[in-house]
Amino acid sequence: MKRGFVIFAFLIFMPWTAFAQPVDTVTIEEPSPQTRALAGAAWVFPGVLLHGSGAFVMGDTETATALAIGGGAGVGLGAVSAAAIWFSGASAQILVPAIGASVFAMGLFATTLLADLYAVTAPEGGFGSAPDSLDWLNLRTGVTTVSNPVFGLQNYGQFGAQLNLDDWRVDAVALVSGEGQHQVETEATWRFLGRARDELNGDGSFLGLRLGHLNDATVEGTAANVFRFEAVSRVDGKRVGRLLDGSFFEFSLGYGLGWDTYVDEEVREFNSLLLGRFAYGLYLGDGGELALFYDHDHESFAGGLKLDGVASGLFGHVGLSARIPVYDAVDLYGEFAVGSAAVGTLGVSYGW
Amino acid sequence: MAGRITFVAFLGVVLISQTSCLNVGEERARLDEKVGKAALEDAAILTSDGLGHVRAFELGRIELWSQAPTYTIELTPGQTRAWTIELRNVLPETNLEGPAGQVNCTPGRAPTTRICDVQADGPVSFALSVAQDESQPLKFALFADVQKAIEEVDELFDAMAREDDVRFAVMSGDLTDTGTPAQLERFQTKMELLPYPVYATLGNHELGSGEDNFHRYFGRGNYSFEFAGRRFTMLDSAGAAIPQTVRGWLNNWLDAGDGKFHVVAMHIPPMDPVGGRNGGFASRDEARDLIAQFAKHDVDLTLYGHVHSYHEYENAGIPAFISGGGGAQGERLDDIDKHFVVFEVPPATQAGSRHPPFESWVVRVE
Repeated sequence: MKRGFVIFAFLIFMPWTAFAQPVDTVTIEEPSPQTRALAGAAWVFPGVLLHGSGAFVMGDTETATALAIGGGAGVGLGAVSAAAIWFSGASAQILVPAIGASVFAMGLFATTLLADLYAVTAPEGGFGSAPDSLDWLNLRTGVTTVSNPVFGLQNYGQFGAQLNLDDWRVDAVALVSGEGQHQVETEATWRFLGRARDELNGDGSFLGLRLGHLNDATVEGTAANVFRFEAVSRVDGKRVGRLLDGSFFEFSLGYGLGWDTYVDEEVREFNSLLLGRFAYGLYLGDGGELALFYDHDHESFAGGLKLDGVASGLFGHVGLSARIPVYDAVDLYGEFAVGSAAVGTLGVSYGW
Repeated sequence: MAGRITFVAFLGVVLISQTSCLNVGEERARLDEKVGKAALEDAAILTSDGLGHVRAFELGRIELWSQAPTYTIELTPGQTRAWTIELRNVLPETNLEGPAGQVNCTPGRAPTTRICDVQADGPVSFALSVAQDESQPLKFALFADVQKAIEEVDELFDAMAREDDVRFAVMSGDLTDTGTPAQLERFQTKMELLPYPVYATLGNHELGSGEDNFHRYFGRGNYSFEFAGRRFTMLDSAGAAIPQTVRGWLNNWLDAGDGKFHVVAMHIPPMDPVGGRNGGFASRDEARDLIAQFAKHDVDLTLYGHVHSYHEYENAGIPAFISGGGGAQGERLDDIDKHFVVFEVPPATQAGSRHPPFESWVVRVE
């Protein structure tokens, strides 16, 4: 119960409280196949509505309570956001923070639902844990393919670097096509809560602030420049509940300000962008991980989901990202996202 | 291992189920292509560019819903000699031009309806004819987002009817709440309160009850026409995107608008001026690309709806207006409620200059 409130507080009001909690290691008996089957059924019903039902049947009431509170908080926050939007007549002043809150609410609801599935299906301890330390330097190269119904099929070479310095992380990635279109993204993240780079000891949780810049010159005759400011977090599942050991939650929320350039017209126009992302993933061991995510960013290649109907244009994109260790310091990484376009990335990285 | 496979399979199914949704609006573009043609026994009708939507086609009687002031009608009469063509949503002074002595038009039950009796001995072509003076300014109105307020739309239409010299209105989507046949029919009935026609495209709310309802009542969602030397292009952005097929048509319409005052209207704006709200296209890359195309062809004015307020801004330097004050629940903090906008664009003879100045004013409806 206490953990449930802790995770609720972490996700809504005081993220840092989660870091005050000790990380327990408890060994439990492997549940029987019948129990897992029953838990799987409970994940579907009533679990789709009452998150944590699967974990409850698995005998972990702490995890179940935390997930129920998280899912319920998502519903509650979503209802409050919807009410604010409705009663303000979707006022511009209310709508932006209300949509931000809605994205967060969706994240609470979706990640706790996925976490309950993980609780039901994953072996004790999961498939791996967070690494003991992060590479101080990681270089990567790969290929990104974008299938967009308007622009057709586009291929980009991807080159990236990540520098980890205790509490700081600096990322840079460039995408370049054969036709000279390019996109460059740089960002610096200050991880002000969480363990230092070389002292993770299997706990990847952190809370940080990120400042980034995107220069996108992939659409002929135009360019977009966006400065992004975001709060970012990762919480390892074991901080939430025993059955979630080996998994993680990610949330980020922020805002982007920038300008669009129309080259031939020599025109620059101010633009802004709501940023919000949530993910639920699992560690694969040796630095590997797999995550399903939602990203509200309409500025990326994937953009927003094309949902013909009343919700047209509203939602961002969904995707699956993976990093799989293959040999020594070499990892394969990949991402597949679907929004306005289907975007696939596959590459290799090397870390020191 | 079984758990890992289950988890990954679940994620994969969720993602793959989304890939079929990339090309929204394409099916409606296919519907557009079918508009403006009908056949029965040995008789057939075809309207140019689908601008006359065939609402009814019986031997001897045709009902056309017009999406432009002028267009041509190709009629293959078969064995039937005498035909009555009911032209709806037309300018009050509209006549049909055809072979001498074969056409007689009279006013219909609404100011925007004309009943034309036609004699046809064989395949024959008619053209809707109205007075067009390129040397005079042209006034037209813009409104959008009526949605649930169909029953109260009379106030709006009364105010719009009081504006002098307006030739027609552009309705940039969300005529109804959910786009049911009953709602669309009700809206069309209400439209006939106006003394001038309304050229509409659909909004996202029209997609609430199936994709083809708007086409059944109004015709094309994407179309373009010329009037008095100015070009008007209506686009269906109800899915927060313009599909590839329509982009192809648009290239031709943009070419046709070169050197003319060109107005482009659609429901969801490519770029929302309040970017964080994202009341714009699903993909900003696609939005910028579309706007760049407009700029390349010197589009003079872009008109949008969707946001229940009023915004005046620029996209790629092109004047842009969002007017969503047709009666749907309005923004509470913006100090503007139900309204429409009137535009007075300069004589077509001045259109040689880039973005010639025009006048616009907001009319609030109390």
